[in-house]
Amino acid sequence: MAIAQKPRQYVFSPEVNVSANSKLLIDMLAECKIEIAASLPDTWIMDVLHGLDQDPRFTHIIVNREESAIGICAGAFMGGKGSAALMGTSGFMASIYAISKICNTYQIGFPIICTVRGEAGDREVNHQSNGMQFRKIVQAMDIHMHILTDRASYEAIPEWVYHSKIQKRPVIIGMTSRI
Amino acid sequence: MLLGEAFKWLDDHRSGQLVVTPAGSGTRAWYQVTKDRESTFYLNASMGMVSMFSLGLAIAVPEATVWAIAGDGGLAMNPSCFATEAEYLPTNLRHIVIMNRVFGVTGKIPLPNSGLYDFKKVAEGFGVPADRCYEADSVGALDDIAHVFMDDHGYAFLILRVEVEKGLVEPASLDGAELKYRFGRSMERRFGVRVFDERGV
Repeated sequence: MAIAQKPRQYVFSPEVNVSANSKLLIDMLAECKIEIAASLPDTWIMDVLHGLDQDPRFTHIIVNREESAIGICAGAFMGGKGSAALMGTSGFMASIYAISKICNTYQIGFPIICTVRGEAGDREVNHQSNGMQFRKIVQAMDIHMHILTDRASYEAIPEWVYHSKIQKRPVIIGMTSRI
Repeated sequence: MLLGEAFKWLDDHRSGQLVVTPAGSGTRAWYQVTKDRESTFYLNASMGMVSMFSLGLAIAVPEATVWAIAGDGGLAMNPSCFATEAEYLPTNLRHIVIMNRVFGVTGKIPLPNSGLYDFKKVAEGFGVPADRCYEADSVGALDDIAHVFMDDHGYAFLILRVEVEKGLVEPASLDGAELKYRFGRSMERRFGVRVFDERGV
């Protein structure tokens, strides 16, 4: 997609290896004709972001605020392009208004690839507080969530992406540990 | 310059560009001037998401030029949008901010610090080149920078300085789903993209 007037001024670190599951996730997104990904990182999905950035099938846009990712994906939807937002649990908590105001008002659905922090096994102290409220808030917003576990759950991603379209609201594709 | 005058000028110089509008007063004024429900997406009260929504649209449809018309209150909520814009400087995006220094539709309450913001410095600080930033406070000033709105100009950020008008602004009320389908069907007709399937999904 030739939109840039200037090349990126930095490069992603080559030290991060993209895991097999991350590659599978990226392939599943591509299979769904998702071409635009907007992200703000969480350590659990950092290699997905590296993979997306290096993959010519995607335009990967990095934002400073997760609500911006929601805005970009909603705009891309209205242009007929598949899009996905990627963020951590904290970022989702910071995106609630954009989801309710933009996605719900205009009935716009796309997948939000999101970490599900605060589950047993998450040893990061600073993620526990958001994790305690995350699932309740997702439920309160009537957002359907698909947790990635085994290979079959990754292969179900296209069905969930379609679910976001037919539900006309975002769905969460979540992970409870590093991919 | 009054907002209606600025929008009249923009509409007179518009040649098929897509428009995204901000909260209440901007949306209402644009609709009053243009009556457009096909190629304008009225992104009401998005709290600073106009330019990012527009960026997604501009990237999705490179053949279209998008005018993102934000309010100064909204832009102040998400100034880091300029960092993402600066990274791509999308040739088909114009970021326009209405600078009236008040929350217009919600009673013309002044912005914090009376809205005395220098968004040009903010944009430049996030990496938007100075020669891509413009200001206009009159119709004559808009005439002087009319080239900015030509499709071959490339990315630009434009500050539209307008007066606060008398009287309270009625909130615009346009149904979201109706807008989505009107705008999306228009996109399909104009650009050959596929926004919905045959069932409207």
